[in-house]
Amino acid sequence: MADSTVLVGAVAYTANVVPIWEGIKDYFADTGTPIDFVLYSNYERQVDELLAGHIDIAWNTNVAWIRTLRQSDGRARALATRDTDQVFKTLVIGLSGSGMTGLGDLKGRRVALGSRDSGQARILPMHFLSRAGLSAADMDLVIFDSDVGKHGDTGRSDLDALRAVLDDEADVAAVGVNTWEALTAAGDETVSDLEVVWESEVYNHCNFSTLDTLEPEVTEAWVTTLLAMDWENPEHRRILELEGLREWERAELEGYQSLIAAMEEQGIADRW
Amino acid sequence: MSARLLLRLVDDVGLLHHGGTTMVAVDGPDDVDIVARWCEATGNAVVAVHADAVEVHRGRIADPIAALAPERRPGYRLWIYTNFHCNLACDYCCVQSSPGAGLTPRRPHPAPASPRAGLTPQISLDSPDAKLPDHHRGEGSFARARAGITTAMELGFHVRVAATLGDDAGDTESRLVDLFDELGLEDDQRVVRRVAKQGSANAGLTVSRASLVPEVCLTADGVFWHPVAAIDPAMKVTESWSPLGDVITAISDECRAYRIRGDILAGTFPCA
Repeated sequence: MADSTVLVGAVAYTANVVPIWEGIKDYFADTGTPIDFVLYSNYERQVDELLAGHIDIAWNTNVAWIRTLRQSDGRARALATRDTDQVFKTLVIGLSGSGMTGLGDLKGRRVALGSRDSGQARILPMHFLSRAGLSAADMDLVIFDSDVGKHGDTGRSDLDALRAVLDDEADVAAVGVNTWEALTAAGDETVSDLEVVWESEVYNHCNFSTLDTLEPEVTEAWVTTLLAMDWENPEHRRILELEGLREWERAELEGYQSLIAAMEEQGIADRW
Repeated sequence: MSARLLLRLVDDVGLLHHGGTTMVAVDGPDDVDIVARWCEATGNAVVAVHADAVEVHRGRIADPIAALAPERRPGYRLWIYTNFHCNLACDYCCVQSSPGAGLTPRRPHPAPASPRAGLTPQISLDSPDAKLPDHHRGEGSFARARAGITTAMELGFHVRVAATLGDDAGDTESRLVDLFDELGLEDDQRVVRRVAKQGSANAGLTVSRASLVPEVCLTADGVFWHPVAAIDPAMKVTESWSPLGDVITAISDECRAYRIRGDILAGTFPCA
């Protein structure tokens, strides 16, 4: 194996992580920055491995990025994200005709939330509720703490929370916008029995994280190659669709501020 | 209540590996329409619609017709049979005898003025020597067939010689190669195939619309899937030739469905 191979870490949150990364590996094979990849079962392990220098780049969730940032004494770098990562939102979903129009209406309601390590379905919803003046004691929280370690990537807890609304076990569910977009992909009218009660400001989700030990010319060449993946190329598109984006973009850090604040105020540790 | 249907879709398809399939329960044509629209919007595919379920494939399915060589795609070659009658009843032949067929002792040579481009006279010659053909078709038939091939070539026709071999062919195929070489036939002028259990053949390969790549065949009785089975009711596609473009499209669609189904079954039963 060539010494110039860039080792990328990713978390195996679905069986499709393998074809995604085999495809990305093939894509990088004939470039100046060929890659290999390592799959982890959880983001905490991946962050540890990045900090230990065992991998060069980690495909991190927003929660994993902030944990990397906190533990690396300012040495962490965010390289690139999906276009969809830069416009991520949390939505609060209720039954159509519920009459609820904002977070203020959730006082005394049953609120379904996702996994404790999910930025979009648990940590940020609690942050936004707090900003709206609601504490946990003001609501009846219905928690779906599934797939911990995957930071909500599987979408399992989002789907469970929505099902709780349909089953009248909760009045609303807080979910990532990606889950709602997946549900309404065939048109909003196809999900006419549910409606968006509230949506958050945009924030950032995943990014490719690295440390300052990886040479700038290597990271620049790697990012330039990544950004050249083309939706109109069928082979690229197959990978992009599986990973949930149309194009890669350079990372912007401003969109992580709300989650940094949320993790601080909720006292979320750097590892579970 | 299509939200429940879409929750099942997102949930079940999300768990599939790329190329996997799942059955999603539906209740009526509106549900089928929603599933189809959702698949189109999310880069997945509907494999089959059943009475109470839709089979969904994770990821797009490459068009199996496009994967065929151009000359094998339905409609590239059109067989037009003026009749399908023969006075003989060879026990390896896909044709059936007809008592009304006339016997012409000497056929005229192909007219020198006949067009050469795009016209391929195909001549059957099932043996490299006279023994079998003369037994089936009468004394001297092998010599006349061979002479006819030479004459057609001398007249400038790009002939094709087709041999049909049974399970008891022994070294016939290798001896046919020698004869084809002697006749000066190029690779695209030679066809050697196995006996199909059609017409008068009392043994041979069982063929079906699912197993054969179609070669559209027009006869006085209608349109058939393939000339090897142009008197088999199960291989009859339609009574009418017109409009021919629609017939070819329908055959292509049916072939596509068979090949997708075959690929999925092949992927469903790995033995190791």
